Amino acid sequence: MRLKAIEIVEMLNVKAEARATVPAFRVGDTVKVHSKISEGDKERIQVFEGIVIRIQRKHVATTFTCRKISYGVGVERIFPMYSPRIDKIEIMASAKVKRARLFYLRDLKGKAGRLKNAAENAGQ
Amino acid sequence: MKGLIGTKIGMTTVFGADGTAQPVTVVEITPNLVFGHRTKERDGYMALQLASGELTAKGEKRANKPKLGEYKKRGQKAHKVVKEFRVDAKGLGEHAVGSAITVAMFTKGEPIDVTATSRGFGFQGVMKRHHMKGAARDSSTAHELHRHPGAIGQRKTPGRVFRNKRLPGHMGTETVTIQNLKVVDVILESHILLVSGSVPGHDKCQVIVRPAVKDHKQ
Repeated sequence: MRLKAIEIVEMLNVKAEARATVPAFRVGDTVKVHSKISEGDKERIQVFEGIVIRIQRKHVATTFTCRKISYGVGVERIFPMYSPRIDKIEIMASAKVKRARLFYLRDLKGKAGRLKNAAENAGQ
Repeated sequence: MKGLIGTKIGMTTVFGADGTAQPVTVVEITPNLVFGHRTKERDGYMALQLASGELTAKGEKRANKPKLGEYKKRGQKAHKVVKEFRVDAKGLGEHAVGSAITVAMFTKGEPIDVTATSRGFGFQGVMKRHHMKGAARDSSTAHELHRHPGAIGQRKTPGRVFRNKRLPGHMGTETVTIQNLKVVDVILESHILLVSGSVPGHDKCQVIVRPAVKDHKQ
């Protein structure tokens, strides 16, 4: 059970507006994550585009794992969903998947490692 | 050292301004009532008696009469617990009997010590209780010895097991103090203290929060 005092703390720390900016993406979606990177005293935005292969729901501490193939090498990055370091998240595509955790993608290469687009799938 | 009585609510994560995720324990500290004073003249030492956890009508019905009488005599509302905190004369002067001390006593960033009764684990073996290594898992020579402590002594000399030998037994449910935890935030209106990291005890257990005795301010 979530206690009220914890809710208060979490609401104060991660405001409702901040929560609203996070789109409701699902496992299997391809997302673009714009995260803030600070280099010295300068700050810039870095974009990571990949398939969401896992969402660990833990209230404000929720994280999700994004996977992409970069120069032939699989790269996975875990983002805290409500981190103030995340500028925005864009949903690029959705796919119909039958798993909550898409770890099987790690073993697949090339064409097999791609997911079918949900929109295209709907027409079949 | 002045302190306050609170309740551990549970843990969560807060993000700092720079985006760092900090694990925190939420401690609820409702205003502590100054129940009484211990004075040098009367008691031989000086301390504040603080009461916490105001009783509801139901709680009052369940509390024992002599205890309620103590509050009645002082014209105070009945509370669940009373603890003493040693202070100097100045401390006594600052807090009159019947007044309340709130969580505002602590400031953001201040090092604190948190005392509570640790979670009970029951009777536990040496691996869990003393972090012993046990014996090999996959070797046939370690027949049924995997989680055992191994030898506990020598031979005829000394011919006995040394005192305080670490053996299986009851674990937990002891008073534990964690020193030099940091106050991450104080939320006055909801009487909440955010403590960095974990504190002893189960959720909803009583905790005592004091300013750190070994203050390593750098």
